[in-house]
Amino acid sequence: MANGMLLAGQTLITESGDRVTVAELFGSGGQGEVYRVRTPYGDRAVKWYYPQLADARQRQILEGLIHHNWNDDRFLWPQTVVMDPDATYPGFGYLMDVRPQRYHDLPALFRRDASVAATTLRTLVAAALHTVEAYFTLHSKGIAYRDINWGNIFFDPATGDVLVCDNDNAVVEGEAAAVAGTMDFMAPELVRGDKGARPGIQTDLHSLAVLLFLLLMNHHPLDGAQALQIRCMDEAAKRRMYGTHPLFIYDPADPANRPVPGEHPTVIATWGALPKILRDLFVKTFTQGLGTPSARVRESQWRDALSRVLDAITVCVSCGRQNMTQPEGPAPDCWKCGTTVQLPPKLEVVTGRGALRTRRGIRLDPKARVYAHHLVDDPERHDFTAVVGEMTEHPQQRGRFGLTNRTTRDWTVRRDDGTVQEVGPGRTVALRPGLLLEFGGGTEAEVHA
Amino acid sequence: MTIILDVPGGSMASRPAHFIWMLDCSGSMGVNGKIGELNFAIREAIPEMQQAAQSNPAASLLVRAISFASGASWHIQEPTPVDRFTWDDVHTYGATDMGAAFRMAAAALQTPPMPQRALPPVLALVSDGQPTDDWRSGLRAIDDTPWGKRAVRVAVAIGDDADKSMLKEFLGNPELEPLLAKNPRQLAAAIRWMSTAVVKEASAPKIEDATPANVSPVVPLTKDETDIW
Repeated sequence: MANGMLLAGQTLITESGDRVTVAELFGSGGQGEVYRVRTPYGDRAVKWYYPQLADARQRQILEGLIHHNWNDDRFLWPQTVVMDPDATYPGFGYLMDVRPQRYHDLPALFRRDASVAATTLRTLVAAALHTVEAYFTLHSKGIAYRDINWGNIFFDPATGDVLVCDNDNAVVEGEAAAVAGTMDFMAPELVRGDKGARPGIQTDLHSLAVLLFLLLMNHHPLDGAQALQIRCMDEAAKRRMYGTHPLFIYDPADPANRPVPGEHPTVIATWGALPKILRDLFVKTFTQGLGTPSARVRESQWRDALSRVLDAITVCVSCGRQNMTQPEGPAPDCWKCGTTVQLPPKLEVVTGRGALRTRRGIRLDPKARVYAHHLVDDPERHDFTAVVGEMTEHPQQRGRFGLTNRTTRDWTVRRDDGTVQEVGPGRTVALRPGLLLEFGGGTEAEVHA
Repeated sequence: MTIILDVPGGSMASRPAHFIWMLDCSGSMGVNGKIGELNFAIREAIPEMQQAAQSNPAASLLVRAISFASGASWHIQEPTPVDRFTWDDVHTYGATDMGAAFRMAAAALQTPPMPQRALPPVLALVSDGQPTDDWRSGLRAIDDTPWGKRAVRVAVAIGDDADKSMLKEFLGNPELEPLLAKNPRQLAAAIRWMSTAVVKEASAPKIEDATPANVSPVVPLTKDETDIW
């Protein structure tokens, strides 16, 4: 039973003339309802707008998005407009793929729900990185998302893969759309309704930073001691907190909105475990960036920092928990057991042929991997299925680790005594400090203690 | 179910969001099975209400219900976490003492029993007739409480006999209208909207582009609704 605006069994028609049959209601949101539908090419989803919102402007936005014909597996992109062939149901909707079950909503993560128990720090940071890259791709095409919030990104707790949904508010920068955003995520100038302030890529960057803070800190970046003074968190209070008087809870110059021990234990714990490289970006975007949109941290900055933090995640030998560590920085105390984390040797990978070379440091803990994106200068995206090498234990000698070649090409190893050896596909090289590895194409790596 | 993940920090800090049903159980609600339709609609909406509540981890939705007829009484007195919320049928028992229900809600909206900090409460009123007691003083009692004053209010008028101007006064915002439910399908849609969209709007307001402030929520039309009535 559909139990919404559309009835189960009802037929809709796509622009290309395909007939689709309504099966069941998935859920309802602010703009419409989402149904599972049967199509000649398998099950799909239809978002059907509430009649009041199914207007010419929304139709135009939708046509524009469909025209982009975007085939990117990180987005549930509108594929075609659907209508009721008999016109007894006014309005329209659009067809998209069904969200695969491995993707979970972020609120489940924020509630620490059992359904996302597979989440680790590695997959959490990977999810943040994928989120950044997804919006980077969208923005680089000149498209603003305009309603980035915790309801339209889904993630796979086991891998950190993300899926961006509800793309029907995305518009080419400068065009109008129905929604200005969800208050908690909106840039202050939009919350205040400043003259000339328009939702766009620059305001998306604020929403993205809020989302990243929620992901990594499990707390809102502006919700500190001052919010505790507010009894009723109504729209007027939120307008003040997010619009007229926003103050970052860790603003180094103004401690008035610091988290309060006993009231905000989660963010005190998560901020304590966050490496400086990410703290600095949050501080920049939530201090300077609050009032100056052009000072907001850009996706490429988030991407580089998150990627480096991901490479520097280290398992605590005493309790087995993953810890974020500051790349090039000192060993932190484990967030779980308090023991100082023992930093394993680091593989420093250098890419690029010209004078400007990119350096990346990968901590060689027993589960470390080298990925294809490590071997290129400016990777388009991080694909964690493209494994180039991985740490493995010697089959006979326990505790002895080396890097196994998972490519189809030979690597070249140079020792500091001058000897040179080839490491063929499937072979493993023990990693001694000072060892130099040539991956080919100008990419090389050195092991540092 | 909340668990310990292998990442730093516990679950997100949240504020309570109180939701109070105020339901007309006057004799006329027994005519043509309206009370049955209402019980059915509320029960049907519970899973979606739970889903809506889950979509905002910064809010903890607590639900209770007042019935009014000859006098008013707590049908569900304990503010119940929505994931444990179940519905026992309400039954008709006389007149339409809405003022008594308002006074009961007003008492619940004092601090205490309300906590020091919360999200705006939601007051959801359903009625099919004219109040039979002094509802105005009851409404003033709600308005006199700090939480009542800030409450998000929604109302459904069942059928043509409901006092729509009175319901409009309850809403306290000239831009808002009570929802009209003339058949079971419309009632179900209205109850579902109150249980979902209103809950979301109260805890995480969305803003439309053209109107930066005071967005009135969107009411879904049902398919058999015509423009003429």
